[in-house]
Parts: sequence; C-alpha cells; structure tokens
Amino acid sequence: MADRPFKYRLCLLGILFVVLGTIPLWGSDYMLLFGLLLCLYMAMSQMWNLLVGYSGLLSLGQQAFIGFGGYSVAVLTNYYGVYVWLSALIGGIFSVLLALFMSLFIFRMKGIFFGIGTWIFAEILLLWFSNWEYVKYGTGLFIKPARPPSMTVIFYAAFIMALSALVVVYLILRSKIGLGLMAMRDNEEVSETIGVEIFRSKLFCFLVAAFITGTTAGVLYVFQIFIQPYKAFAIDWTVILVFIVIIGGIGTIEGPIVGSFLYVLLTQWLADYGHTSMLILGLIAITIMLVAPKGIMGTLQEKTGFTILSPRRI
Amino acid sequence: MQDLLQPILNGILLGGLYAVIALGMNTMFGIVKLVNLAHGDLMILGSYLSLVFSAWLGLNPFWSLLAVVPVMFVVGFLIQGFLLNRVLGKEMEPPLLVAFGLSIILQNSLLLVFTPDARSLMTDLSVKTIPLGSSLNLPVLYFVDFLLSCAVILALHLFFKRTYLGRAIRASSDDEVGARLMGINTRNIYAYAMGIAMMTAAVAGVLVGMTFTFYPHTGPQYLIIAFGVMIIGGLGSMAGCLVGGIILAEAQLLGAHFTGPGYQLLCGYLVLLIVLGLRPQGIFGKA
Amino acid sequence: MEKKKKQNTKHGGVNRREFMRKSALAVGTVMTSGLTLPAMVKNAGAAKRDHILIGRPNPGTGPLASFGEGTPWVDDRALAEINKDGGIYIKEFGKKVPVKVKIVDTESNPTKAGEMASRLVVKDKVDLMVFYHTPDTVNPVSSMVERYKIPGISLDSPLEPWLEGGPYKWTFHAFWSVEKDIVPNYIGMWEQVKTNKVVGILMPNDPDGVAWSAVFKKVLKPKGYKVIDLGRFPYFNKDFSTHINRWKKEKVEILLGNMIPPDFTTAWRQCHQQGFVPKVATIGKAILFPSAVGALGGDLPNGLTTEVWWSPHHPFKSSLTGESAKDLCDAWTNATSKEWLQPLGYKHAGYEIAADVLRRAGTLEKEALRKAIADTDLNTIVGHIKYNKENYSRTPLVGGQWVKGQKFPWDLKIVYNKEHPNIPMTGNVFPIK
Repeated sequence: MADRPFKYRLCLLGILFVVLGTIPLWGSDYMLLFGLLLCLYMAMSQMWNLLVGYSGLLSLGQQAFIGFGGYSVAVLTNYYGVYVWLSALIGGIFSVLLALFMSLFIFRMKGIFFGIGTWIFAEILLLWFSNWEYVKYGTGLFIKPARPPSMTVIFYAAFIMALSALVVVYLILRSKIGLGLMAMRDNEEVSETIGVEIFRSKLFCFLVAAFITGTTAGVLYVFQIFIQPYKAFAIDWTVILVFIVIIGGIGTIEGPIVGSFLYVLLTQWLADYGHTSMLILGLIAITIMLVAPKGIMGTLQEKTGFTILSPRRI
Repeated sequence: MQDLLQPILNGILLGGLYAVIALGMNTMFGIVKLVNLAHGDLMILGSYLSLVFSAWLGLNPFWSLLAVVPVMFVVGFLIQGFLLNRVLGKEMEPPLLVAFGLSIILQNSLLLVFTPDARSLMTDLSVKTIPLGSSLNLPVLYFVDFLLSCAVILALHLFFKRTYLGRAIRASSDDEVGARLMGINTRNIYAYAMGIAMMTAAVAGVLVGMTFTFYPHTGPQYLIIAFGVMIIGGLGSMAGCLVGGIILAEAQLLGAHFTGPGYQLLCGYLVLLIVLGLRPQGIFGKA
Repeated sequence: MEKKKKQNTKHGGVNRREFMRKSALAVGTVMTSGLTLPAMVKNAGAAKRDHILIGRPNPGTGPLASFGEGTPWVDDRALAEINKDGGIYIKEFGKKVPVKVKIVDTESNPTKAGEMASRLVVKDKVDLMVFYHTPDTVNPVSSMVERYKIPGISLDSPLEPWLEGGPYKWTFHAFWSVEKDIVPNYIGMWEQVKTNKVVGILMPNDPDGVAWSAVFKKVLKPKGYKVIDLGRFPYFNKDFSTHINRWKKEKVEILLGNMIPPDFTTAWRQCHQQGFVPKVATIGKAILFPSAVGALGGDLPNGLTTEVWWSPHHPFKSSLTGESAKDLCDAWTNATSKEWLQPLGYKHAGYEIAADVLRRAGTLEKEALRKAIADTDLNTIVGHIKYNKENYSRTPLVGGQWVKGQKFPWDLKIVYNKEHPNIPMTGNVFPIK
C-alpha cells in the first residue's frame, strides 16, 4: 500500500483540525460557539463509538458520566474554589471511579441487558442527585468560577478534548488491545482461545471512555454555566450520541467526526424550529440503518476503501 | 403496620397496570428475541389516539378502545413488516437502533402535533373512591386498571393456546426453521405477533392515559417499567408479567413509604438492578 | 482482505485521488453552506441594523406554557404603541428607530432557556433581553445575561430563587418575595377559616419548591402551626399515595403547595381518589390560570386558593398606553374570547420599562442602558418599579380563591388584601368542604 496517498489523507485531516483550531483567530462569535459544540460532541461520540463499534459494549448510560463530570466541576468550583480546568480533570477521574463501580454490577450482563443496566444506573444517579441537599436538589447549580474563563479559553479546552479523544482512540486501536478488540469483534469465542483478554480489554475501554466523557462534560458545563439533574443525566445524551455515530459510521474513526458535524449543523440550522431537528435526525438514522447500515464513512470505506485513520496496521 | 395496608393495596392494583404495559414487549421478546425500545412510545401513541377519538366522537375513553385497538394492530403490523423484519438478522445492533430511531420519531412527531402540554383521558372514575374500613380506600380507577389488565393477560393466554395463529406464533418462536418447514410464513407471523402486541399496548395506553397525565416524552419512563417487569417476572413469560408488575409496584410504593416520595422510582430501579445482577432471566424465565 | 485489495487496485489509485478531491470539495461546501459566509468571518463589517432588537426567551410550550400564553399578543400590542410615531430616538442612528422583538421558545426547559439566550446574544446580537415566567426561565437567562454583559429586564419569578444566582450587575428583576409577601398572604387566608393548624407540604425539588418549603418551615412553627413535610418530589411524579396516606394519618387540614400545573392535576385528583379533601388548599404557580384550573376536571377547582399578583381589579395604569388593568383584560377577552391571565400585566410592564429605559438612555451603548435601567422610577400597570441596590423591586401581592364563574367556568376572587388595601377585595375565604 503506497505511503503517499496516506500522507495526503493525513494532511486532509490535519488541515481540518488546523482550521478548527484557529477559529478564534478568524471566526465570528457564532462560529466559535459552533466550533465549541462540534468539539464537545466529537469527543463524546468518539468514546461511544469506541464502546459500541469496537468493544461490543452497547452503553445506553453515558449520561451517567456526563452528569457526574458536570456536577464535579460545579461542586469543586463553587464549594471548594478549585481551578476550573482542574475540576474538569478531577471530574473525569470521578467518572472512572463511577465506571469501576458500575462494572461490578453490569459487566456480567450482555448485549441489550448491559445497555439497559447502564441506563438504569444513569436514572438512579438522576434521582439521587435530584434528592440530594448538597447539590441543591433538582434546582440545579450555577457554575461560578472565581475568574470566569472567556469563550476562547473554553473553546480551546473543548478542542483539546476532541483532539485527545481522537488520539486516544487511534492509539488504543493500533495497540495490542486494539488488535484484541478487533479479533473479538469478529469472533469472541475464538479470540478468547488464542489469548485475547476480553474482560480486561472491555473494562479498559469502558474506563477510558468514562474518563474522557466525564472531563468533556466538565468543559461542557463550564460553557453552559447551569446544570440540573433532569437534563444532565437524561437519556437525551445517549440519543444524540447514537445518532451521531450511526449516521457518521459505526466502527470507523472518522465516523463520529462527520456525524458530529452534521448533528451540530442540523440542530443549529433548525434551532428556531424546536423539535424538527430531532425528527429529521430520527428519520435519517432509520434510513441509514435500512439502506447503509455502516453509516456515511462506513459505507464510503466499504465501497472505496477510503480511510484516513485506519485502525488496521496492514 | 396499619398504614402499610394502603401502599400494599395500591401496589397490587398498580402492579396489574404495570403488567399490561409490559405484556406486549415481553411477548415480542419471547418471539423474536428482540427488545422493542420504542414500546413505551408506541403505548403513548395509543393514549394520544384515544385522546383524539374521545374528543372527536365525544366518547368516554373506554369506548375509544374500540377504535384505538384495531388502529394499533395495523400500526404494529406495518412496523414489524416493513421496518423491523428488514433488519432482523444475526447482529444485535440494527434492530435496536431502528427501534431507537422509531422512538425518537414518535416522540418528536407527537410533540409537533400535540404540543408538550400535559394531557389526560377524562373519566368520572378518576376521582371515585370506595372506603374499605376506617383507614383503607380503594381507588376505583386503579381497581378497574387491575381488572382489565388481568382480563387482557387471560385473553392473550387463551389466544396462544387455542387459536391457529397463536400456535403458529409459538411454533415460529420455538423453532423458526421447523415452523417454516410446516408451511408457516414466519415473517408474516412476526408481523401478526407485533400487531397483537400493539393491541395490548393500546389497552395499556388507554388505561395509563386515564390514570396518569401523559406527555409526548413519557414513553421512555414506561419503557423502563416494562423492562423492569420483564426482568423481574421472567423474559417471555405472561404469568411473570403479573408477578413482576406487582413486585415492581410494591418495591416503589413501599420504598416510598419508608424513604420518602422522592425515592419512589429509585427503589424500583434498585430492585431491578439486583434482579438483573442475580437472576437475569427473572422469576418465571428459563435460564 | 486480499480480494478487497485486488478490487481496489483494479480501479487504481486514480479512484482514490479523485475521491480525495471530491471529498475535500464536499467537506468544503458543506462547511460553507448552511452558514452564511459573512456570519462566519469576524469583523466582516458590523451588521448594519435600522432597529432596536429585544431578545424575548418565552416558555411557549411545555409545562409552563400557560405562563407564555399571552405572547405574542401583548408584545405586538406594546410594540405597536412604542413604534407609533417612528419609535425611539437613538443617537447612534441620529433619528427615531422602531423596536423589534425576537421571541424564542424555551420549551419550559431551563437548559434550553440558557441555550436560546446564548444564541440571541451571540447570533442575533440583541441590544436588550426582556424575559419572565418562573425560575426555570428567569434564572438561566439571567446567568447568560451576566456572562455576556448585556442589559436584562426580568419579571414574574419569585425573588428568593432569583437571588440564589446573584449577585447581579446586568440583570434587573421585579416581583414579590416568598418570605415577605407569600407568607403573610397565605397565612392571612388560613386564619380566616377554622382549622386544626396542621399543614401538609407538597412541593417538587425545583427552585421554587426548595425555596418555598425552606421559608415556610421556618415561619410556620413560631405561629403555632404543625408542619408535615415528606420531602421534595420529582417533576412528573405519577404517584402521590405516600403523601396522601401520611396526611390522612396526621389529619392535615391545610394543604400548602407550589408546583407545575400538570403535577397538581395528578396530585389533586389522587387526593380525591384516595378520599383526602383538606379544608384549605393553597397552591402557588399551578392554579394561576383558568386553563390549568379547568384541566382539574369537574368540581375539583372549587375553593382552591392561590396568590394573585395581577388582576383586572388592580388599580394601576400603563405608562405606555394609559390603559387600566381592567382595560387590558377586556382587550384580551375581546381579542381571544378567553378569560384574563395574570402574566398579561407583567408582560406589558416589561415593555413599559424597556421603552422608558431606551427613551431615557437614547443610546444602544450597553453600559449606558444598564445605568438607565438602574435609575428606573416608573408607575407601571403592575405597580411602582424602582430597583434597589441588589437590582430588584418588590411588587404587591394579594390572596385569591377560585369559585364557579358566570361568564367563564371559573373565576378568581380576591379574598385577602391586608398587605395592600388599595387592591379591592371581591370575595371572602370559604373552606373547601
């Protein structure tokens, strides 16, 4: 396989990221908002893709980490005066601990049961937080850092998360664990006989996804200022991630990037029209499932072999 | 002990309602081995249809059942026939994701058509109460829900036992290839099964609409309840639905009694998680 | 794997290169479509507008939709009056310019409210934000207003939950306080009926519920009332039997609540279903509107008490149109055939304040507008508005009770006015059963 086309494709991706990363220099305030949302969704959907597309873990409860990460930032910043971005990282660490705890219960379940298990955990967290006096029950918290960061700083935090998510996924898939995951995806029982440690690999991915999702959520809520349990732990987050990844292409690294872009574009364009954007997303998702189940990038890869970041080493 | 009687009574009655909510989803799972993530939303669709018919014809919601049940049968038949049958295969994801997409489409369409305002199906029964002794009250509506739910479960049981279609469905679910060899068009059968499941969802929807207020987005709440009943009672078991429903409802109400109303749903979820972890096939389910 | 490779090389590298070009082009076009290019590039020349733009986040749909119902009728009417002879003089334009308003639906969702407010500032570049209707709208929008440093005028949300998000520099609020206004009104109404002074609290875990329950628990005990509180319930709660059982056991005769309309419908019906009917039921927020009250069904609304912050009987006049409160209500009924709503006056007052501020400032410069709002001293259709050092102004509050009406199914009568005798009483308190 020639190296030159690969370099071209890498350049393409690089240019996109440079364009994205320099928005504060040339873009309007609105473009900055757009880019910010794009980065946040890219990071979270990349993680969901890692779980579903590569590890076979159908998680319907990522919102557990989103809410947890967000509330960590709120509590640490407001009550203890911790520096905002440090709180986000700590939020990520708390999310990992939560994921470890969750895994004790749900890792013995398979398939849809695993998914519903994660969903139930998220609902339990929702109810727990809305009844907890420490976080002011369901009234929600305003995140008020001592020195509120500017939109540009928040944007760069989100950009770093998006880039990190991409790099982490690429590295994992190129590593031994990644090879094991792909073997597992093809045939779980056989791969176990040749020594792939399924449980360990899956748990590792679950924890990594929890960390990045939690930290990204921290950045998200610094941007949104206001967090309340009913929205932070809502199944709505999973709906968005599912759509982004299905439409973009499940099991491809570029899929979540394309999917996030389409999602933010569609919701911003139709923002004044309430729920039509979700309706259209639902229709697109079903159509894709029926017609091109591998999503945009997946079908592209299948038909033309066009990939920028291939997890395959060959 | 005295004041536990009311929550226990309410729990039994509410359990019946929960059972009929889960019935359709549980039966479909037993047949096609798929969890229909859109079940809650389809049930709420039934509630809204009843709203429309009741308002249009000026009828009591009970009469609207005559119209809603057939319509929901057709809806179920079409969904399975044209949508879900196409993605039934070896992989788990496509049918789940199609059902997911369907759920979102339903919720948002209902939102656009009916607005997010709270709705409920008005009936005189909603405020009637029968006092039983000095401290106990029988909420008439809950009681009616319970009776109707039992009737539906019984009817479905007889259907599967006595009718040709019922037996064909059971055959297809036990051994698809064998059933095909006997001349049964299994894809068609699945569509019929879904239609019937939707008929039970229609009844559940009307009952729920009369008992509680509903919005376009209340579907997922009932999906979790249906799932809870299914897990606790047993995957694919109809008797399990009733038992599971009662257990879940009691967990919620007794839990609320001891820990406070804010934790009502939480108690139900905890019981669900415990059963999911210890005996995922449920009380009456096969391992 | 081998087969695929062969297939690809058959068509050769040309296919891939073509594809790269095509995809780069596709990505490029996609990025520029949907977003107008000028809007993307910074300093593309400030959008030249010939009008003043006010941002209006409003709960048009969702559980709080009854609050948002008067929009856009009140808004259009007020704007028509402001723009009557050309509008307001703004020195940046050197002439009178009209005022336009962009109304967006918050869907009664606080997170959505914050997002819509963000968009209004960043995309539509509004000059001023005017917003109302419960903490779920007012609180998140206030925080966005503070972050982006644009002037904001808000009304119709109890003071204590609003103050939680403070201190405020850019937002100015006017309404009543739970502790100083609701408490004397509610207790005043209770004292007129013979009860055993046992109060049951029914409140959700939203900002109002948390604030109100805290205040009432503090003040009721010293006044000799026994308080039964089972804790806050979540929105859309379906089953209140635990509450009802406890109230029956403790022989509660006064029901005190504050929640969104649909939750009260569920709760009140269940009370009747389970044989619990208190002597007095005073509920904030949920039964302010005829539509919410009607949704209860049958005779359930009879005798329910609530707070009245505006009515046709309020003796105030609009500084904009000169109408009295009764005139505005009659105009509404004539135009829509519906009964009057409490928020109508407050929506109108928001525009009175905005117009007054713009006229006095004569400029769109943010800091000048902010100072002009701070200096407001105006008689409006909801009362006198003068902001204090913490950026709020208290408006008057009286108590009301729902009775069977003549023209409309249910009427709200003013049954307690001791704190503000200038607002006339139209009825006397009676027990529910």
